[in-house]
Amino acid sequence: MSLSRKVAVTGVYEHPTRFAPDKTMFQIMAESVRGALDDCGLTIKDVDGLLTAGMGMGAMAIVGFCDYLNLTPNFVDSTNIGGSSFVAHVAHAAAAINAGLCEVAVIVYGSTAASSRFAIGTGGGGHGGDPCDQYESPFGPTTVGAYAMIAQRHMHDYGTTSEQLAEIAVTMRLHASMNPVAKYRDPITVDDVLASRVISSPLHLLDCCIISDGGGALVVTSAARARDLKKKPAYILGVGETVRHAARGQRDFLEIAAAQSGRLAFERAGVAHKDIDMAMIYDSFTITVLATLENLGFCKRGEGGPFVTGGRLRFDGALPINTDGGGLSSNHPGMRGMFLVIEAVKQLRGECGPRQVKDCKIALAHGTGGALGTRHSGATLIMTNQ
Amino acid sequence: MPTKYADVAGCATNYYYVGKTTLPDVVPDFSRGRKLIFIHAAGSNGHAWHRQYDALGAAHSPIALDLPGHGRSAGVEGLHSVEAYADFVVAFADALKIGAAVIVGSSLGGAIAMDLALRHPGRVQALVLMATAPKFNIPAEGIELWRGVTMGRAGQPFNNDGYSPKTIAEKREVIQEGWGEQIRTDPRVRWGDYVVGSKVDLRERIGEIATPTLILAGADDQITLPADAEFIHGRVKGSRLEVIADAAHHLTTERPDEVNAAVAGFLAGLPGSAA
Repeated sequence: MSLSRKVAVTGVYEHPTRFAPDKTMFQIMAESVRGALDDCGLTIKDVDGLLTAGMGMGAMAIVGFCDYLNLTPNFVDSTNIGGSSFVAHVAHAAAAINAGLCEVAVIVYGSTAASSRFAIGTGGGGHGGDPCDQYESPFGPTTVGAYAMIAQRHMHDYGTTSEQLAEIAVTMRLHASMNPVAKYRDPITVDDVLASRVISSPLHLLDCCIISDGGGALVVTSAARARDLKKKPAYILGVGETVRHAARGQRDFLEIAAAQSGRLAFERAGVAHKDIDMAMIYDSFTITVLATLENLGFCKRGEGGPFVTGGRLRFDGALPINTDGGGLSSNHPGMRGMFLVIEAVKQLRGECGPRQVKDCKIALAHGTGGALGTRHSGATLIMTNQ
Repeated sequence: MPTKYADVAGCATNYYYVGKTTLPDVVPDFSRGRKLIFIHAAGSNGHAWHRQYDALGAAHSPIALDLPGHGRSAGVEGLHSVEAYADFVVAFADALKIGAAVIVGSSLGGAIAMDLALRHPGRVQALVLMATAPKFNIPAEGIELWRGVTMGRAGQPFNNDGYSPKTIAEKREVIQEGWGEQIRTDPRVRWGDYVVGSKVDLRERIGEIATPTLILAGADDQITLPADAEFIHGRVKGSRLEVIADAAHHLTTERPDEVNAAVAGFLAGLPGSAA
């Protein structure tokens, strides 16, 4: 059974805050829900499905958030597979709507990672307490360390350079300069990235995403209903999600979840790589982008280094990536998948002003959760405005 | 002491005050003695005044705000000029329904206070200027160092700059507390404040300040020199100058008893104060 074009993302809202010491996670979430509903002309009374996830949330936080909104939805899902969760939520909401479990689903995220001083990247790589962490946590791995290992491996196997990785950060900053709410908007150069201190070799400070507060929300409904709403629908073409882990010690570190979730999404969407007009790629670190592009099949394994250079990833390049400035420059409250979908939808609507990708008809969003060097998830979403 | 947020032109602005807490949109009671608005230094925050508002809070109504981007106030950047900061403080006073107040400023906050007194004289009952100058001598390499911090090229410096030899020898905990305040604000905001500070020059204008003014300087201050304080004293008619021994740029934490006594005495002598 195909979901293609049966369900659409109809309302989106990115909370403009990057530092909100006066707000709680639930406040940011509630403001985001209102923003996304206003965006498409629906009200809270229309909502009968709710999906959320967050780093600061307990297992039952979704029930508490329903309490906060005084909502009793017919469908709830708080799947948490890390930063990719909200991309996966779009798939789950689409499946639920297609199966008749609900009609209007809201996906929401909020976080005060910056004002609450979360140590996201330099904190522990394991999640402390899960059985699988017992062989890693005692040795003190960090999230950034687990990504740095992938970068080191890629450099070792294929001669990828720090300069190539740096160009990803430079491109994201260029895009952020065109996004008035991005946290960092001043242009940087490859030399700036290389001159910044090493956080975990070979990743420099400017190879790492920023930490901000923030939040956002999406409204997902049937294509039929979406056509009558305020904004042009972003139809879901194909979705895919999966995980990668230690694989009994037989792990190929450069083969990541995107290889499988991407293949599924492309097959289900019935489109080819050349059809993708822009992509939102989870950029926790520069290496995340390079490894994801390879695994999604935009270039061959090992060719990511040359592929990301020469301006290809710019908003006016052959494969525009993260036109909002990404987690490297715009915002990253800990789980960035939400903003991948929001920006992709805005690009499909033509709402992106100076950073708008020309003739954008098909967009891809890929979220990564966890750490590429250990256990992680991947979720891929392909949408169109046609 | 309680803290509270005020919405100042869309910026959630945190402030410290003394007295009973109130519901979110209810302005606290500021009816004790004088209303004192404290403006902190570059890269600092309102909490750095805690020795002052704790000591003066019984007789007066102290209010110490975090400027935008600083401490617990919203924003990822500071403002881009002394004038913008001064206008922000006026908007903050509007939000708290405060007409005129005693404006207390330290270092960059002192320059903001002077600019405020020049352009909004009706909002200033009196000025207290601490460790400040009409023109700051901020070395270009110092500004560049903090830019380097924001770009990941240098670590944040934690040093004894701005403290007197006696403080360095005897009050290590005061310096460590200062470092604790330093990390409450993003280095990018501090860098921006230094750029703002390097541009300000009030030397030609401060002669127009007509409000009662107390100037406090640290005898050992090498950042804003006692000579800077004397310059202000020479231009602002009727101003009072006190130079505090064994204190430098951070005199509010180095010699709080002397600072608080000087401020309390100055407030008691203002026109309209109860004897």
